[in-house]
Amino acid sequence: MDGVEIVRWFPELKRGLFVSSDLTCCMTIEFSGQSEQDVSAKRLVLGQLPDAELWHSLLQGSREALGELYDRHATLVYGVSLKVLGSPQEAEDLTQDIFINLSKRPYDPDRGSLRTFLMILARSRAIDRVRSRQSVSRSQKKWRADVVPDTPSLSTDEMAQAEQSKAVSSALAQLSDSEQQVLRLAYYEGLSQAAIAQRLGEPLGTIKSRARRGLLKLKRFLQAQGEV
Amino acid sequence: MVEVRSQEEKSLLLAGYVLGELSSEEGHLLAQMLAAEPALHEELAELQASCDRAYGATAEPPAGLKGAVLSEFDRMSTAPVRSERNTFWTGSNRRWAWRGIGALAAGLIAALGVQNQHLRQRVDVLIAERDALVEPQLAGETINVALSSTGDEGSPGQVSLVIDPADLNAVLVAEGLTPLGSDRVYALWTVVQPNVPVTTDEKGAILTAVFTVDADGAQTQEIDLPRVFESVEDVKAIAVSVESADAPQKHQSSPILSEQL
Repeated sequence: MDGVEIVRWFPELKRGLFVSSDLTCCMTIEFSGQSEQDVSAKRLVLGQLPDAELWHSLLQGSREALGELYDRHATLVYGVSLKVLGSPQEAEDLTQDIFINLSKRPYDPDRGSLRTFLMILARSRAIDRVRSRQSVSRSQKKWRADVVPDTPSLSTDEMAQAEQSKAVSSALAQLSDSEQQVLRLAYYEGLSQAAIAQRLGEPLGTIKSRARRGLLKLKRFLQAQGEV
Repeated sequence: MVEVRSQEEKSLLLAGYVLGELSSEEGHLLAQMLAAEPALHEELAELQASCDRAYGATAEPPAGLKGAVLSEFDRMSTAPVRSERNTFWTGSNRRWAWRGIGALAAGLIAALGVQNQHLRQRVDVLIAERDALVEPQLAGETINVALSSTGDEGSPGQVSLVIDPADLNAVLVAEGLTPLGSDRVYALWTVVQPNVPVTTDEKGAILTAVFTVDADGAQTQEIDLPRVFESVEDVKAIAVSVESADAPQKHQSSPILSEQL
């Protein structure tokens, strides 16, 4: 197996994940027995690797893994950044910063999805930048008005997005107040479940259960409206 | 070892993963589950898509950005020493750099006994610049507040605030609010605790900010806070209502969003 190295081993499944040295492909190797004769291999392209595997490759310095993660999540990171910052240039700077320094972030692929992690990170960092800019330059009171041009009329895409927002609002409204609150604290304020439990004065188990059930209900309501 | 017995328990585990808060034991269990039941990947993708739709936003980044990211990644990978030196001038190190520069300049003046007005002015500028950079780091703790819908109807959108009581300012981030006509505006109110000696309207509130949203229902705006925030315990709640653009201070509408502090 020249040029191929193992990046993950799942002993319970008797399966290992091997990636070629140029990271253009990988193989999952399934061991149904103890000898090499029992090995069967299946080729995968890099784009089929789950985020968690790409994350491990990124930690080992893989440029290709970073490129693939960028392809998957850049629209979300840039979109959230743009929404908070209002400035395409600043959103671009923040997106670049997040991806360049991604491997330094305290992300644990066993505990949660990279996409959610990136969404909360982008929002949090964008708000930090707004605060920093505000502190350094207090005289720029109407900064956003300077960088965001007025939109004279809605385009088709914008109207579609407005409609989608109504659908999402409607779905969110069907959650209980406490479920909405927990999800809002998690996604908009980036609070951990433990921090939410502390803030609301409720047991951690209650908060975890409420957040999970709330997300499941949200999925059902959005599905009923054909949104996901 | 946690055991998953029902489909509902499996779904809850998937939701926990999308929320990013599985325990290590649950994470181990989920990995086994996904390997054994590939169909669960579809449910996982649907949950993630729901999260994206409700709380995320997407926009196409500039075409050249990926190339710039990868080029910078290459540069950092091949020149770690140079990178380290460059990054010294960013972030928190910069305030120490400015402190050093300020201290050096001040020390030279004292040692040489030079009464040069120009140098003194330069030191003042450096110190002022240093303070401007250090100020955000030294500012007091911020308070994050996400407002909740007050009605039973559809959610009116999201408004959250990052409040800095020490500096009496905040950043307001609105998402998904309904764009209003030119005759109406959103009004942000500071509702004060009873018997606090500040001037309020009849509803015990202080008009704190007026804002509108773009076609997507979004707005990010810096706002100044009333002095009552110097004692946050005197603030009962923060609320948003829709008011007449001509006279929002009349406070004629009920709040659509609010949060107790």
